[in-house]
Amino acid sequence: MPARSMRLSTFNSRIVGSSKLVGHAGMLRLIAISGVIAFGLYAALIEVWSPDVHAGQDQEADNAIAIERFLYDEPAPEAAIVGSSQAQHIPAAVFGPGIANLALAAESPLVGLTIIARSGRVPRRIYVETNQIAGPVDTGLIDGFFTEPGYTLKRFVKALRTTYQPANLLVSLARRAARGRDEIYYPKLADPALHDVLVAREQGLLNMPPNALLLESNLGEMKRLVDLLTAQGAEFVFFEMPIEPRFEQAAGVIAVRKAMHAAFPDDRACWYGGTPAGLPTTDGVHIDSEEAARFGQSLVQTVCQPTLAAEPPSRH
Amino acid sequence: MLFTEPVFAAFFAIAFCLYYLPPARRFQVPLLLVASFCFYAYGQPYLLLLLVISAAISAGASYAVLTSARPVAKRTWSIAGVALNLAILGFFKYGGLIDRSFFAGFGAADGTLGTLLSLPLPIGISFYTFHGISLIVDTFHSADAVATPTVRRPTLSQHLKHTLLYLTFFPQLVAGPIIKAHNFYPQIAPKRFDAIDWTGAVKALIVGYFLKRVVADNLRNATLLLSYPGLLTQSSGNLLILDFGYSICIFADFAGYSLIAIGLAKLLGYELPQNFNFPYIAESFSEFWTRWHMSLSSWLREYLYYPLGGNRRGAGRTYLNLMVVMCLGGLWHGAAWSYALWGGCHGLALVTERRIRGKRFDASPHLVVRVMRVAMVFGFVSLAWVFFKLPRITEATAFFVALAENWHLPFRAGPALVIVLYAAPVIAYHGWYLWRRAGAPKWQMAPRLEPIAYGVLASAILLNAGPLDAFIYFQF
Repeated sequence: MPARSMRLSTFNSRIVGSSKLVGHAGMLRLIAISGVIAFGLYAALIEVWSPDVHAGQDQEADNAIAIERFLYDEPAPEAAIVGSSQAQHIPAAVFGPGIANLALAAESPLVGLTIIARSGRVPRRIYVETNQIAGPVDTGLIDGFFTEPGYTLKRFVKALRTTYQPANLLVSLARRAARGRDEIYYPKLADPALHDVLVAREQGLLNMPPNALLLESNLGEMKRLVDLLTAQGAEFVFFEMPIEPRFEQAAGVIAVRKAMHAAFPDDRACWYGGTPAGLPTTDGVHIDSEEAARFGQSLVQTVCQPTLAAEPPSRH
Repeated sequence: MLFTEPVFAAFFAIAFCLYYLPPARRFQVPLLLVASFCFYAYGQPYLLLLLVISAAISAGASYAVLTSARPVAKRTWSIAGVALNLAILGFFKYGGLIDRSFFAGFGAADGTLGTLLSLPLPIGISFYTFHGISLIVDTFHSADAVATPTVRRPTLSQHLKHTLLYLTFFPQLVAGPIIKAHNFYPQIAPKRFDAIDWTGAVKALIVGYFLKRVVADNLRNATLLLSYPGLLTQSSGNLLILDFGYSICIFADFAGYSLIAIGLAKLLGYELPQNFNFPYIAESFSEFWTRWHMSLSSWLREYLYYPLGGNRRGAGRTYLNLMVVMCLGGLWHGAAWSYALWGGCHGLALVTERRIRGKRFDASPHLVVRVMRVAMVFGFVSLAWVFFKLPRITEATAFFVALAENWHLPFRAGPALVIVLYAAPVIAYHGWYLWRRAGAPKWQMAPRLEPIAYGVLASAILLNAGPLDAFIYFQF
């Protein structure tokens, strides 16, 4: 059977004949010019307007926006929080412009710490959420932000940043129109039955001891980064985000807590001692944004006195 | 290597330049072979061995068919070749599933069998084995199927070279479109730079990359909650929107990939078949399957449905054939029973449609009825995608239970808005086709606006691409 029996793509210009009007070269030139103009107009709009976007269309965009704000916003933040989605629930409004929340959903605190170290923008104080230190570290995510030429281009062309993607901008504007602000906001969960299902699932995960090798390796990397950044003038405050009261003594939680306190002893490192021994959560490990705001306000007022900052005995 | 990775752009640029260098013109096929091997070996080089073995089997069997004088020998060689291809596909793709389902994980024990069963799914195995089967069957039917413009009766080495190119041609190697042997071999000839269909290639690439990078990659994140147990927290309204978003996402992902493959092949002087033809405007399930993954539908029709008897042996046998083809077609997509269930759902829909063919609702040309038919087909197809997204049947069941029960939960407008935002270009894409098909009066400005539209789409790829992710169909 000959090749002509095959159904060809509608993008076959020999079938559609779409280039009759301007010819092939003319068509390609017009496409290129239109593309450059469209990009240029949007880039100019963003440069002139410079909208204030805190959160975007989804969790991954929220992470990217937090990282880009840390990397490119001027002036550089005086303090930063690194951690997981648990600390990400603390609303940005609590901190104000001087504190960057680099706690990232579904990521380890090591991601935030590595980004700080690689960027060279070292805040004076770094708050480290320690709940999720036992998980894998997404190095691909980190590398993605520092790959050239994107890393440098984004510094000069804001429109190339995830923060200013048209969809994120639209979502931010829609949120501002609907509730007056665009920050990440997690409401209380209104369905008790659903809460129980989610908590039961978390229980299964938290009752399992962490991967000892991975935990050891992560702690080693955290010590290295803490030493490196301390040498560059940063001061560290370690803290745990509150979780569901019934999980306080779960095997996984205890193991991580012990390992962290062994690696960063209370008499040498600064630990925030105000974490309540359990709070009602939406799913076992995440507190809602209002509760997180109260916790965050208390956290940022921590006075760092390593020898005095004591962990409540009941939590060890 | 993904078409969307920067490393692929560099790889293609080098391959393209070498391919059209005048001194290299005699070596275009070997150059494409080397490029295809590098493309496939990038990441998992050891799987190249399986690809080469599969290609050698297909080339050897088809050459034996080609050169055998006796019909019995031709038939024996073709059966052996097809069986070996199916055995490779069956072992490496379905070995684990069969082992878990029927032998309680016996093969997962130590030893060679356990090691082989634990290998990751060789990328593109479903595609290159289907290509191999097409080659053998086409050769059985006609020796001209493997003739090229310059070689009418190939020697073994020529046939091996052409077959390797047919099976490994990198634009379509890992996820199609599936091209039949009798459509590919006649294209194997020296290619000239000045014969490139630049406009067709650039348009296909722009739309393909837009669908993949802007629509699919963003919708993939926006529909992340369509996973267990996250879906339990969603209201019924949100679940419907999530399912709608996934429908658009899987279309944009696969249609985008296919268009990129078509565009790249055009740049190398080859034509690949159309794979999607605005599937979501289908008014019937049979029409849907002439618009969705057309190269697979066509392959299944030609190499499975017709040989089974098609619709020539009475109604009962036709229904049985439809169910067999759709269940196997479903299972072709993935090694899980939920894929067979997905295929079975479509088979059942096709059977039901045949039974009511010609009835009032089915035949009415009224616009409202036609819109209702499109909505019904789209709704069914979208709900059936749940078995794709959630391959564990218990999780798919949890989705349908939550859909029925979660009406009391509050509807979240934000995530729904994001899904609608990214679905809009796909809806417009289908609308544009409907507008043209309806013979609407021609708008004088339309041809002048066309390049501007492509330019805007190209800038959107730079401005609003989603997080880089693999193509959904790579897992098949």
